[in-house]
Amino acid sequence: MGNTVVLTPDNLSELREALKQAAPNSKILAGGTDLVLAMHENRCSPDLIIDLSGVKELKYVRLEDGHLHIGAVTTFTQIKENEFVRKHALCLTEAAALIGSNQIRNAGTIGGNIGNASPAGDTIPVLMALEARIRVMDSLGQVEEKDVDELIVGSGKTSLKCDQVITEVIIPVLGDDYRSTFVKLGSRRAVTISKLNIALVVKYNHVLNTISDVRVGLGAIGVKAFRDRRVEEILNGQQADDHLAQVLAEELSMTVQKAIPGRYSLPYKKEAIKGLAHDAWANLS
Amino acid sequence: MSKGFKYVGNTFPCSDAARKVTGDLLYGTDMKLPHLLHAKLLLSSIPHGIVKRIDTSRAEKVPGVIKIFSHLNAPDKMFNSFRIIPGQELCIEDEPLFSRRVKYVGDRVAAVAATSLAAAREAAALIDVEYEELPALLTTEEALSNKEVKIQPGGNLAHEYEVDVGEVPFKAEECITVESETQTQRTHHGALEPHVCLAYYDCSGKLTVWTPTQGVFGVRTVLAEFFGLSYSKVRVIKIPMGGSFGGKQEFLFEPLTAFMAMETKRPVKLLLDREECIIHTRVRPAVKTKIKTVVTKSGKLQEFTADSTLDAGAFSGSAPDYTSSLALKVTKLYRIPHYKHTGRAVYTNTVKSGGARGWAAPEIITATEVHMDQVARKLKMDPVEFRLQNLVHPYDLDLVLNLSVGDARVIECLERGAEAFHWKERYNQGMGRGRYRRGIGAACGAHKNGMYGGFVDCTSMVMKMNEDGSFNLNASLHDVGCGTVTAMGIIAAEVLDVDPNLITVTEADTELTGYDPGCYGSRVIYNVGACAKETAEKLKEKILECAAFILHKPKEYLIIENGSVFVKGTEYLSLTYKEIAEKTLQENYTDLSAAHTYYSPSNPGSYSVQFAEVEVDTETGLTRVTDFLAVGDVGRAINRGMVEGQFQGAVQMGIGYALCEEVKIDEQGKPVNNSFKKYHLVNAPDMPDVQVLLIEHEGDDGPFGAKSVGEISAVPTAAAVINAVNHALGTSLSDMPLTPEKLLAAVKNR
Ligand SMILES: Cc1cc2nc3c(=O)[nH]c(=O)nc-3n(C[C@H](O)[C@H](O)[C@H](O)COP(=O)(O)OP(=O)(O)OC[C@H]3O[C@@H](n4cnc5c(N)ncnc54)[C@H](O)[C@@H]3O)c2cc1C
Repeated sequence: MGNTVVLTPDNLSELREALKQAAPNSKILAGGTDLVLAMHENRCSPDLIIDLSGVKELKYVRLEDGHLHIGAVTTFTQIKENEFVRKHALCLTEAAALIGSNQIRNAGTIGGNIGNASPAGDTIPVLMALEARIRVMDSLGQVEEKDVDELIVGSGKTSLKCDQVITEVIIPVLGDDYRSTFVKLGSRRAVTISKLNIALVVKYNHVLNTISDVRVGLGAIGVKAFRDRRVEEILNGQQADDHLAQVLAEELSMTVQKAIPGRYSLPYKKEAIKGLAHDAWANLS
Repeated sequence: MSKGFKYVGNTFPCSDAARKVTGDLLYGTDMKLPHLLHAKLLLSSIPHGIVKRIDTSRAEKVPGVIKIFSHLNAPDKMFNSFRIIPGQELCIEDEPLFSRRVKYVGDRVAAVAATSLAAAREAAALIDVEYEELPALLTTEEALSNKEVKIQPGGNLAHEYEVDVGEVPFKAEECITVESETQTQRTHHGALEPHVCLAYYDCSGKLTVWTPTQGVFGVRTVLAEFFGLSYSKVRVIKIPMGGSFGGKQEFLFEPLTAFMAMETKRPVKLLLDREECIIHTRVRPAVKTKIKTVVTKSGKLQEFTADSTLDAGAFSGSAPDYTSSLALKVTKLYRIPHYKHTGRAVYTNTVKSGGARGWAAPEIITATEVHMDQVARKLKMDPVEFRLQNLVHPYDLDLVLNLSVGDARVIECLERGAEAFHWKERYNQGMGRGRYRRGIGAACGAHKNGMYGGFVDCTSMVMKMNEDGSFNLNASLHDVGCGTVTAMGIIAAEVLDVDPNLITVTEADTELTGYDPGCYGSRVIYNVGACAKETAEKLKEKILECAAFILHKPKEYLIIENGSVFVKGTEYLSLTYKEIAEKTLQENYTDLSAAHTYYSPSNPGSYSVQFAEVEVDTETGLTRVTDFLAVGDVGRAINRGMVEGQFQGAVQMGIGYALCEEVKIDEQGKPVNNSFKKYHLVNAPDMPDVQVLLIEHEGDDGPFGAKSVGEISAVPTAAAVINAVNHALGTSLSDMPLTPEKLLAAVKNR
């Protein structure tokens, strides 16, 4: 640990230069709320650290051509307080507000949440439900865009190459007829890692009282968050009434049972997700 | 403000508050000594086995490593971390510096001393240990039934006791019998400051140890006996402490740190991390208690029979004493014609049990109070009404200890608390039918005031007045963070009628301060505080004598007021303390100081009754405590804000005890929640507003009537919460903690 080199680029071009030195045992550092702990616990001991905290160009939220653009180094506090996000992707506002404590929200970043690829990461199912694209840059300045699902490949694993860095999250804004929410369940109300989390996005037809374009992101069930297409299909086009809330609850419970059969946590999670589903539903109306 | 007192009963910030908030106060972690070495432990990764081989060759290559210690180069000698006095009963010496046969995951295998903590850590991770695994007994059931595997040479039964007092009464009335079983769990103390210790053995042969301990003289005893040193050549200094809750009560790391200092001839600091604190130090023991009561149909307790099994962990330590204490609480709380309690401590291959806030009271009182609610339910009686019929009255005799319970005001606590909490209305309101169920619960608790009746309980102090009229109170205090130092200052200030800020109070240092067995056992305010009061009174007499001499008046004519001595009735003839001190020293060559030793004459009960309201989410199993009232029979609040703070903090711990805290050990014997990420304490968003109601009388021997508060405050909390949950759900849950998982299962099975 004594020989770690830390590079502190101030801007994107310095970042590209820094990335040229990156090797398999180097690490990107953003807020450090995951990485520094991992280093303290000897779970990871990088020989090179590229610190993004000085790259101001990666801290922003912009609304452009029907998309929210969020710089990778934007903190949860900035996201939770941003009016564009609240208006166009409420579920992300809610997720950001429920992450950790004030201290963690002031330091932790959205790029770090994705990069950390925890099965319980709170923004991950949200970004899936919002159909976000993740912009990635390498040491040559080449940029590509990926789905969250492509980027995260397993528990703590991403498909990023060592000289690649997440630069931006791009979210198609939800139209006025959309509603969205995020709910999580941990072992206490605040500063808690999710045992379950749900992001729910629906298009609501208030004339017919039906929902369509339903998107369900689920986290903390298995190694990686996912979209529950099966449940989405069941809900699409249905009457948005109490009965449907019940269907959502029961079907999500079914999903849990299929996702983690035999797991120690199954008996609890398959029941508790019903309550959480009702919470999510109540938030939509 | 209390009537008749100038300082007692007001609120004063802790004497070190400013230093704490500004970071100016130096803890063990911050302390630096010249040529200091840093030590890092290597702990066992298996629950039971023989250390076959320790290969330190890779570790020794780490630059900065000075020496690596293990059973290979340490004495075979054993110690007992609970020994306070030489020859103490029930103190089996069965803890080695390093284990050759490891007995739990987290047992000490080796330690590295290096010039930096980073080097010590790096080296510790490079030590290769080869084990020969032995079968591990992880539960008390397994340990008792398995006759082949012996965790300690004498077998797995660590200690047994039986108490049988009173007589089976003639039952004039029809009775019912109620049986229950309660399991309380292992918990971590959760002090913010991890364990730390510094030691230096100088070339004159003197050992100096700096430690955030609760008892310097006990540390000295253990060290002197272990190393064969003269008691006068062991100096133990109590340093600032970031919380203990009993976790730092035993003398865990002083022998090891001293050993490493003696071997390296350099000062050594041993600092633990959170994981080590959780898996290696001590835990509140898990206790299973079965209770059977016989009660008349009109609600009078006739017989109380209990059987408890305590998980001692891998060796003896304080477990025999702790276990026996399980039988010393219930008869302080209830009038029971016939009380019988059998119990045992059992060795298992798990983390060692040790002292924890309340010393057996939270364990046995939780079981008792959960049981009492079941009795009330069977009798179809309001649980408060039922308790009121059976609680002790002032000056009852505690049959087990054969001691008076003193001015026991538990009935008043319950009556006034029930009224303030609107118990009746709320209890009968019903718990709701929807997803969220509400319930309320009450529980009573009893604890003690010191060691009188069983153990050494005396303390010595010296107080002196300086030439400017300020004071120094030299006392062996061990402030664990609850404001002991401040409280002693307030007591002395009240006696001498001076601003408490003019009194500087010391903490313990075996070389400089008088004897005191230590700050635990709920003995501090009641006994040490009484000593402060009498010492100040002695000094006051001396001041008056000197003033009488200077003023040429009989002492009887003089009174003390506001830092001055007046002649009664003549306001102008007065002397300030400063004038008296100066004159006495310069003209009479007399030093104004008083030395005093105080022996505790009694051991009354302290009481608390607590009321909780909870809301249980029947879909997620999450429970929220939505309202809380803690009532305390504290005799007299010395520092009111701190007394209230003790209750508020205790409630935070008790809610965690009821609902979420547990050091869990998996089937492989590994502790699963070895960090605060996985070991959840109740945090601020989950805390209710805790109301505190203090009942104050002056019926006992404490200073101005004061009785203990730090431990009793934590005794009934968990039971109040559990009773509230059971009220909300119509259940009889008693397998702690009541996690969402258990609650959901209970809701489903109902
Ligand atoms: C007390 C506490 C509470 C927490 N509570 C929650 C919670 O409620 N919900 C939750 O989801 N998480 C929680 N976390 C985890 C953590 O805060 C989040 O995962 C956070 O988003 C991490 O962001 P960071 O900027 O701190 O990342 P860092 O720690 O700096 O990095 C995390 C990982 O991502 C990589 N990385 C960071 N930025 C980039 C980038 N731009 N491109 C590529 N890789 C990158 C790093 O190399 C590292 O592997 C908590 C953590 C703590 C300590």
